[in-house]
Amino acid sequence: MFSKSCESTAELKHNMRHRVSILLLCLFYAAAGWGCTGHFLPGAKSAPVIQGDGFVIVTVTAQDTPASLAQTYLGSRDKASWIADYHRIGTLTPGQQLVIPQHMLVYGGVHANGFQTVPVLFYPRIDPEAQSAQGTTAAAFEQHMQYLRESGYVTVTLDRLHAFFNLEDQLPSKAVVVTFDSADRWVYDIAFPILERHGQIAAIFVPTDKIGNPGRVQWHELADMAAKGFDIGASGSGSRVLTDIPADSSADLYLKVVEDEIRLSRQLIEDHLTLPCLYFAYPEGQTNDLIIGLLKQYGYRLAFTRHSGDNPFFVNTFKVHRAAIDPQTDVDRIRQMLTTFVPAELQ
Amino acid sequence: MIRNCTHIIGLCFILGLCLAHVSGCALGQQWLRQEPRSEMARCKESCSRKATDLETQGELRQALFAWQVAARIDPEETRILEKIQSLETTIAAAATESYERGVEYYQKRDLPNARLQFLKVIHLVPDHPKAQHYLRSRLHTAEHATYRVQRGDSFTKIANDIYKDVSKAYIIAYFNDLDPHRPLYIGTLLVLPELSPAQLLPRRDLLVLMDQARKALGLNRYTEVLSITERISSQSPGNAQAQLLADTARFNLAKAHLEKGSTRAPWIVSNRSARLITAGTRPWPWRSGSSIGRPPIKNCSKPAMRWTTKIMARPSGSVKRSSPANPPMGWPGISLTPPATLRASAISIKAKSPRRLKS
Repeated sequence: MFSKSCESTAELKHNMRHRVSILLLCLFYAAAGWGCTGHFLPGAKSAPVIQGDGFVIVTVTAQDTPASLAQTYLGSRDKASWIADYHRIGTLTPGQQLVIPQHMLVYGGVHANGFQTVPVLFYPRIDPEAQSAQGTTAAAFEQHMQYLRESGYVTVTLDRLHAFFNLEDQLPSKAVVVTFDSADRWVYDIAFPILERHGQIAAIFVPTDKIGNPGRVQWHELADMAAKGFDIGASGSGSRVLTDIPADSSADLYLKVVEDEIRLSRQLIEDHLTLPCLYFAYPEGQTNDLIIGLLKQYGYRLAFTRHSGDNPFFVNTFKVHRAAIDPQTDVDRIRQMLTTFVPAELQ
Repeated sequence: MIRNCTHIIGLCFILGLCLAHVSGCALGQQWLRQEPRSEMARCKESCSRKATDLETQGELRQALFAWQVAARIDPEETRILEKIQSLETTIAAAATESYERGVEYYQKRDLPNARLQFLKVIHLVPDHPKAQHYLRSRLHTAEHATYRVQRGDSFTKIANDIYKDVSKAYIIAYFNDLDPHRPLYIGTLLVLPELSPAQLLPRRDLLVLMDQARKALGLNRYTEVLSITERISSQSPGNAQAQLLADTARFNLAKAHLEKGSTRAPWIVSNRSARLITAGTRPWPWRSGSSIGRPPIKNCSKPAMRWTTKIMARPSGSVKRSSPANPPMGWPGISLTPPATLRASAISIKAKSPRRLKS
């Protein structure tokens, strides 16, 4: 009887040990699994399979998009085009092994069959419906922005445009820039909300003397737009055409006046917005070599004319072309204006 | 016995797992690699295929990248390594050839073809500094005319020859970052800015005249300054610089006469100059630090200015001296009649006139 009870106690202990061993085993498996690369974890994001010199290979998960991968592996969502352009794809398939280049592969948008050009649109004026006679109507502007969004065009900042010209950034193949040269209220009241609705940005070149006057934008409104990623550039102080020399002015006096227009407009914007102001639009689009020399002297990076033309990376950065949009421009015309690639035999 | 054996086996298994855990799940990882090995092989094949396609399309740099990825997946495949080497050689040779062709086209002034060749270079070797320089600078400035300075040249001569406008001398100097008042060195290559006729200065020789006036002022030849500034004013009415130069000259003339003890010429002061002098300030508001147009007046102390002001405050009787019938010497064509405002101010100051003036 005693021996039987002893046996049952020993068996009980053995079973306990067995269970403890199984428990420990489970714990070790879990710990070992955790200590591994994390592939087991459900819902994990893609981890690099191979990290090479200048690239990484990942297994795409269901949550991944080119933008999210660009954010993770390239440091910015803006670089999604690096992935999309290399693979010539817009969407990813979960489970596929994806090579992510970690440096630019296409410089200046130059391909064997041509090169990229960035269309810069210039809207002289946007009016609400009732006063549609002089400028583009708000409805037409909305249609244009809708067309840009639906057709895959991406509005880019002037910093990115400058980097593209300097062969420092690879822009999306359908990159475009929208610009206004005005401090009138329509910029903030009409254009800004429409652009925001369509997820687009623009560059606004303001004549600084007009800011804050009745019927003009206020400094805090410009700051609001700048905070949303819009570029605020200079367009002189008072919209006077810089190439016009007053009849009673001597050469050095004229130079001083122009110098002040260029220097003070930048200084005012930088003081009010506490942001660097590095871009300039020539009043009425008129320029000459003297004005360009002064802009370079005062540290501007890009300057915009109103002459239409292509903007490849080797364009004169102080004569960037812009296509003016008149009130009659419809979506078909916009489509024709948006040339983003110039064919050329470069093999 | 059997139990002990079971325990020992269990412990060994646990120890084995501990080792696996400590070694970063090496075995587990190896096991994991077994499964995606085929995935990696597929990836390598896909990279190789892509590289071949890109090569066919002429995208040699992208093809090279794809081969490099394939080589990283399977570093031991010699075929891929050879491909990489041969592609690198091809790219370098093609870039060199295109660059040389580009330079040839550029020298022949065939700019479109030169641009095409330099673009080919950038396509193959994006950080090619010389091709970049040609594309972004030289091909642009090639549109500018240049001029190499020869013996006997000056800014004004070049401006007159090129633009038919001597006033452009200042702009040529500015554009080339040179001082317009210094002589030009023979052999200097000047870039001539593009200035359309609409941007011409209103007077062809305005700058030359202005320079002459400044030089005359520097040499204390005040009557000459007045003569030149009058010519400038006739060509460019209301020219502020000419007005200032004339005022300065008149001021100095008055001062010189005072120093000589003469009171014949106090009225040769324009209305503006009189106001400035009365206010005790110099009549030349040039920028500080700028030497352009600064009059060379030295030792113009406040007492001297006050003295001048006092002299100006002569009673209206002295106006008789400025009649055309009795002009002062050396200032032809200059009206000596004081403006009405000045006369009024003179009368108002009269009460405070010093003894010498009263006499």
